[in-house]
Amino acid sequence: MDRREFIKTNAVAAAAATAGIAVPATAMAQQDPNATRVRWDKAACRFCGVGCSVLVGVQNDRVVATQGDPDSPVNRGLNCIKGYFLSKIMYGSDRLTQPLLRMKNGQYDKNGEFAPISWDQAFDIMAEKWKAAIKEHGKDSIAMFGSGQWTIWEGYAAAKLYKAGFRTNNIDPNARHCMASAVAGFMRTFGMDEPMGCYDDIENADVFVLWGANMAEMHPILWTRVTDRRLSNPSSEVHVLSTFEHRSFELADNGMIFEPQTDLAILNYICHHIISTGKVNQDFVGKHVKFKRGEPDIGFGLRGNHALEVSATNNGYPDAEGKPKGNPGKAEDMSFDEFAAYVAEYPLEKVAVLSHVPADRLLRMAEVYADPNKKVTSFWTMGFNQHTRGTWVNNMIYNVHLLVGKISEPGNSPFSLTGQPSACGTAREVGTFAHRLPADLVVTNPKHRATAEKIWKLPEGTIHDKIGLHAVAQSRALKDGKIKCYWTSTTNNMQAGPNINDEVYPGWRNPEAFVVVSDVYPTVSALSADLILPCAMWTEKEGAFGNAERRTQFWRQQVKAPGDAKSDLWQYVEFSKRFKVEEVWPEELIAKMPEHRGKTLYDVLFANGEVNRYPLEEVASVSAHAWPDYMNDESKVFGFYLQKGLFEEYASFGRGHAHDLGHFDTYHQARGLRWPVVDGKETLWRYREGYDPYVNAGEDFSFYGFDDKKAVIFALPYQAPPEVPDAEHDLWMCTGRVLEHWHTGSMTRRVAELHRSVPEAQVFMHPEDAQKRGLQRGMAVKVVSKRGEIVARLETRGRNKPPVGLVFVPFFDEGRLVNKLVLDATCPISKETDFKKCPVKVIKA
Amino acid sequence: MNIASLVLRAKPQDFSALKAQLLCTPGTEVHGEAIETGRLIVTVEDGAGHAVTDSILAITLMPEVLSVTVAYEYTDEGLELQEA
Repeated sequence: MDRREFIKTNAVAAAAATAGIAVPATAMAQQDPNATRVRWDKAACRFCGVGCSVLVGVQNDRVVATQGDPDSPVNRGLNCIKGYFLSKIMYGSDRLTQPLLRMKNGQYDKNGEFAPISWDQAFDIMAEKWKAAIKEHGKDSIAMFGSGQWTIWEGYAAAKLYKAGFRTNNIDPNARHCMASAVAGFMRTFGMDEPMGCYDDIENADVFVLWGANMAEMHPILWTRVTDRRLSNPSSEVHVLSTFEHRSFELADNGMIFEPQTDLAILNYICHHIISTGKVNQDFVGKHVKFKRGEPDIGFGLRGNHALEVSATNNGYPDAEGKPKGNPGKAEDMSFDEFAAYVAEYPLEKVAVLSHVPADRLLRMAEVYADPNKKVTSFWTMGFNQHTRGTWVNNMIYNVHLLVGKISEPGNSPFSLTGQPSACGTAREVGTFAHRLPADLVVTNPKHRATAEKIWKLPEGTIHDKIGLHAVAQSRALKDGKIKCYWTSTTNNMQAGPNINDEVYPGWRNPEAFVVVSDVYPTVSALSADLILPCAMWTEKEGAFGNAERRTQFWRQQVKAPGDAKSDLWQYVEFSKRFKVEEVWPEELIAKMPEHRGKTLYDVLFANGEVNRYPLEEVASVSAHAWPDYMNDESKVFGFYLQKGLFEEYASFGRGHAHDLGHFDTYHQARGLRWPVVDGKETLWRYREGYDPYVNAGEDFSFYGFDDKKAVIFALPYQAPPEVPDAEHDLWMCTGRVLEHWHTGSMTRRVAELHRSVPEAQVFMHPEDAQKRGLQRGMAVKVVSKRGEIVARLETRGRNKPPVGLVFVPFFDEGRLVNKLVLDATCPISKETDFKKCPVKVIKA
Repeated sequence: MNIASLVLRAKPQDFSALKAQLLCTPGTEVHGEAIETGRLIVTVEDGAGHAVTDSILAITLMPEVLSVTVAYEYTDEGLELQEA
């Protein structure tokens, strides 16, 4: 058997085992010890929020193979197509391997050309800029933009460095662009973040409803589980709602194309249907739910001088006297009867007209939610979250599930999916948002700040009580010259951010700003920066991610990073050595803990007796079961088990407070554990007696995020978005992803064979719309909004089939920055941008 | 050398049409199937003039295919460079 045949036999054996299909001639697979010299170990996939476990095969310090991890409860031996790219994403030909600074005549110059420098020189100039900015303009003149792709300890180290070290809350993750509305929705309805259910809901549900999620292409492994359930259970049903038809419609029993933004009305109609047909779960609602009326006039998160903000009465912006104009998150108690009357304004016929969904289809969906004998799981992602009413629409899907008590039990599950591998584990749980601290704590709460200061052994008053700048506000503050030093990592905001030409690029190139980008490839953002720092990625470092079902997963460092590339973790911890506390803290703060005097931020934050308490020998002993003499690069440099120290200190925030993480060592053995992990046991369904150790006997359900243990149903209206198509910009444009490329393509565009297959973004359009405009498939067309234009090829027969009146354009293509067309309007509560509803015109290029 | 094994999901009534299309896809072989659970095992490998990615994407876009998953993949591209 030659090498190719041998590998193929292994490949077939892996597929046969996971598919449960007997295939002859696979018995000899994996028997021949000489045919390959591959070392295998587990890792969490680098891509989406599903959190599949993969087995990574390494040969000669290079990842050469991967296979779906057969022991993973998430993916059960399978990966999606992006898994095929995992062994290739680290080896793009333009990998960054040394720091690059814009220079002229051997000196930093904002308008210079990138030239290689050493890490020492890179940190020299950064420290100089940081110290000057803090001295002249205060601590809030520096900021950081991070990522839902940060590993847990990277996000924790960055947040600690900024919030405790530099004492600014100006740190926010790109998860602001994808998950902030989900977070705000959870906090408003349940007082606690993240889904109550888990992926096991799929095998227990009778009905699946997709709201603004193309799971077939974006969450393929979960979609495979939904497909298996649908094919094996003839009475099950799949309902799919979207503003355009996509691959998930192929499994749909009830597909629904709706007019953008009318999801708000549809959800109120479903509540009205449940109430008017007498299907409310009275016992559940009476015991576990309360009702509130939300403030409706909350603006659109635009700059304060925008007409829509001037007229808004409750956007929270400063008025003429500098006092906040109301509060967008405000809500007042109401009764069930008042709620019933509120949603009665949304009868079937009216909502069918508004949404353009045939009444019989809406009714069919409403009936399955109402039917007490059907278990319903709802899934959503960016269609809900990237929405100027994103927090509301998250609240409103919970309204539906709460009215019928279909929640927190196997198969009955409102489930918020995520797009990044650690949007939950890092951005949310670690709390790298501008308002957060670990374990759902917030900077505005004095008790929470005190808790953090105690765990971090820092003087009272170290953490600032003001919410820092969120993603969109950071861009504006850069443009306005308020941020002087900006560091972004593991994200590509020059491509992913909204309104790039007007609100992102001007800030980065503002002569007053010094912009540092840490990344693995020369992305659009890296090339727009002043200093580029080369990073280690994925299995080039020891890591941990937390997925959408609260599962925390670890991996060991498998290979070395190329050249001088270093992990983000090394960068933050090493950079902290450049600052003496006297240079960043006021004397009165130091006076409260004089023992910190003369020390560096490294001493105070990382060599604090907690983070450095686990000796270097533990790196090997913790992983001895899998890998004799294992070591990781960061621990070797700093001389202690850095990742363990950071994780254990971080975990102390949540233990005993329903955010319990297990012991560090266990994660290096398990295929992940779903928190809260109490007495070594994970929790599959939260808030439900018998599943969740935090629910007391006899309570049945307990939404303990609030003191009264009741979840909230919110009365909220349908409202039009800030911009709608008109005579000139006569089409809706929705942006999003495609199967082959992940997000901005930083990684997937480096896979040469993939880049050849799918090199550029297309404009997906209905054939009638094309015909009306004299356009043909394959033609170059211009997509124009009030803010700019891009040119791309037209596709009228592709896998995405928009209705008349809407076009879909993916955002992976750095040659076509579609997000420069998008208005930087956000949900006023979550501050998340709406990337899904931009009026455009499309003309011949 | 690039090789991957895939598990496909399709409705049982679509199996024969799907297999006919798979046979026409370069580098693709069908190794096993289970009609009752809607599963099919194929391998995809590269060869002169065709890349694995092209074949995987072509299979993904076949109308009968409900989902495509990768069980195993191997590449020796960088390895050849290193060993040379």
